[in-house]
Amino acid sequence: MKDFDFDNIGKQMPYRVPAGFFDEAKQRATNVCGEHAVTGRKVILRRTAAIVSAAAVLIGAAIVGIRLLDARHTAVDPEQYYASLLSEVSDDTLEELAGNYMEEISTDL
Amino acid sequence: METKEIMELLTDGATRERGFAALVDTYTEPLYWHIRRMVVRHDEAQDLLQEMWVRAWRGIGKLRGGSQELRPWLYAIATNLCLSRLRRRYMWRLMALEDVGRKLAESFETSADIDADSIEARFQKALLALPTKQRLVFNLRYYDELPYAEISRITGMSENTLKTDYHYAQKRIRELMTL
Repeated sequence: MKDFDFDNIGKQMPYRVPAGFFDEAKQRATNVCGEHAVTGRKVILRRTAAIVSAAAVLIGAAIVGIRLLDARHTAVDPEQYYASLLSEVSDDTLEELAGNYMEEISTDL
Repeated sequence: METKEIMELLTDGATRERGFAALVDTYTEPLYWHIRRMVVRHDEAQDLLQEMWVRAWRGIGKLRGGSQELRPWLYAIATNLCLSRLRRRYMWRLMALEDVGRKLAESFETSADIDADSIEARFQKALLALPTKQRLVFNLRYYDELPYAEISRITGMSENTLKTDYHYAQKRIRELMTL
């Protein structure tokens, strides 16, 4: 059988491209310059924002943690605790409670 | 525009965009065909070509050497992208890069935009039967007509290895086309 001769086929290929493909591809490639410049700035801004956000979250978590630990280790003063509770009750309610208490005492007697 | 002129435009920050446009104008077609021959599918070649230009634009400021470095540099970016894509595409099948040609031949036969019975299609199928690196060397030498010294800069292979690979590739293709 006769040997294959490369010259018979040359550089022909069976591949095809859509019409106008190379013009579009060149346009897209040229647009890379402007896009990349913007993208570069965006990337820096995005990274800075991410670092700042992460730092804020960490600081917030640290503050909450410290407060929780403090609250756990602080002894509660009963007098202060009841005083704070009473300060939230109105004077009228206190008078009513006191009146009820006096009635109970007098009934017991 | 001559490569030397393009290089001069690229090295100056003020004219870099103009130089890049000239570079795109000169090399889009040959690089597309280089990529297409490696990955076969048009959509994939289109995607890799665009990625190649993005990388070229990002790296253009770091390009050292004279204008003779421009073409091998672009081809090296395109080649590395092709090989990475092929590795990634067939990695999950635990297929070595050297064996991907068989799978590419299958996708070649099922491509709607290819006349599978033509002599050009038979030639491409014979090419796809070669180990990937041998196919790469053959393409760069046969289609792009690059000198061995330049192919060596693109592939990192010695010129003697390239010559041997090209010789074996030719021999194998001749055998397959004679069958």
